[in-house]
Amino acid sequence: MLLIRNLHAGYGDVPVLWGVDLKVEHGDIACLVGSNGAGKTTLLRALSGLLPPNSGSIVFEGRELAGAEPERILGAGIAHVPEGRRLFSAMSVRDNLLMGAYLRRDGAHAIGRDLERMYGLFPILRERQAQDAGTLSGGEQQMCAVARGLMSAPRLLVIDELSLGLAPAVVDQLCDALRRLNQEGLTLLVVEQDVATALELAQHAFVMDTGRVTRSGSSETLRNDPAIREAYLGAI
Amino acid sequence: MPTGVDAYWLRLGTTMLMYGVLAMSWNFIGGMAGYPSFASAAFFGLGAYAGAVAQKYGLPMVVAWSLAGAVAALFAAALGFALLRLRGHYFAIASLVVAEVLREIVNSATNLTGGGMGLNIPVPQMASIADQARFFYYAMLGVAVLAFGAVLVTQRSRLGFGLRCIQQNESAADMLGVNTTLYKVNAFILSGVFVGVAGAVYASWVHYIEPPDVFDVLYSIKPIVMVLLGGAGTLFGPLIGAALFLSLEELVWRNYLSVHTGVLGLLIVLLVLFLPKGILAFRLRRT
Repeated sequence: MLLIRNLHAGYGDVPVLWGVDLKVEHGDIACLVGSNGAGKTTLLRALSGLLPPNSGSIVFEGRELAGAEPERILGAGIAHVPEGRRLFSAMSVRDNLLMGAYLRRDGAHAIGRDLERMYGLFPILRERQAQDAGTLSGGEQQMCAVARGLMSAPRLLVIDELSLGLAPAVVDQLCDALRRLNQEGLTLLVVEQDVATALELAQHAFVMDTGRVTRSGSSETLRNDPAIREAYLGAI
Repeated sequence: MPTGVDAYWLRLGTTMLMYGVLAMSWNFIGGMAGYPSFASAAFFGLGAYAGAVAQKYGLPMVVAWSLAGAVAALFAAALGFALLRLRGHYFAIASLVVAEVLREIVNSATNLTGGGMGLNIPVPQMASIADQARFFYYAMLGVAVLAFGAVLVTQRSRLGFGLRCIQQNESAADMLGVNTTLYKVNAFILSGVFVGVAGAVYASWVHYIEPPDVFDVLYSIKPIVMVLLGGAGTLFGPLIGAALFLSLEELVWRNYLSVHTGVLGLLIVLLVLFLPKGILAFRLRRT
């Protein structure tokens, strides 16, 4: 579904990605793990069009998207839930969700139905729908951000730092919701610093280090990989 | 309303409407999109000179005013594509120097603009001075109505919604598919076009313009104070702010003539400290 090949990107003269290769299959939950500065967020920024890559290709459902504008990428079916939520804090939860549907042209009816679906997925958002998004707790904000991403009716949802700063119970709740979405046919690519959580959620995982994908495979394989255990899970 | 009232009030009313146009215009870029533009004086001066020069070459007054609006809009579009890549203070400073640059250009283009000697604008043929004053009052009212209409339409459109998102979180807006560059440039054009027309009307109204007059940096600063006073990003905030500001200017400052810029500075500081969302915030803070 998503095939990234030999992607190079960086900021100004500073290269960050040194030839990233990554493949996400349709119907998969894939996760991307790696330490700080490995290039995870940069890869996601390149994927969503916020940072034009220097070279390489990003093919999504047969369409080349490297260097395309964010709107085109979103239109192609890739939605991005950014690190740190990035909600419109002075706008209501409901307006934030509707903003997610900004590019859609399939009418108010379909958008209203999806809004209801989001409230079904995260019931707390229904209670909070008239509140300013800035007044939500961290977990609620993350739910709002995920729901906002979903409102564009994507086929691939990309989430940056899913669990960062959230209580474990909230992380579990989010993971449950993501699994449910996955069962309904959504493909997910999740960036996660907490490797244990990531490997539990995902079927496939990619490990990034200094701007490259250094290891990949099924979560099961990686969980038993001694090098991964030592570097990220704490070898016992 | 203007019939039968004396010239002072008519003049004040015209100024009030002009301030209203400046404030509503700044609201597009500063209030809605959140880009602190100091380019109002540039649009005002450019419009004033465009209108004046057009009339010097014999164009009818109203045509000259429209032309001034078009020139200001084109200028804003070109400027926007260059400047709106900057954010925050950098954008503010870059937009601030535009008026200075234009003033220097107008100063040196003596053949076209009269340079430092200024430019006389033909006085419209009308029965009396009072008729003229009334005419310019209605002209400025027309510009204000147009600007208000544009605010109304924008606020209810996708553009307005998108601009509010840009103001709150530009990268998130980008990510959700808002064409941020295009939207910001549109906001900048809207913030320029009516100011340009107002500048041209002003030039015709006062019959004589010179660079330090129409490129005065206060034309950049006053609209910001007015909008902050009234409530940034709101529909009526800029108008309320303009009325309030003009009242202050008339009632208080005339009594402190020598220190009135000091009072302006103090007012900005007090505003930012105690009323960052403007007068209208009182009403909105119910919940």
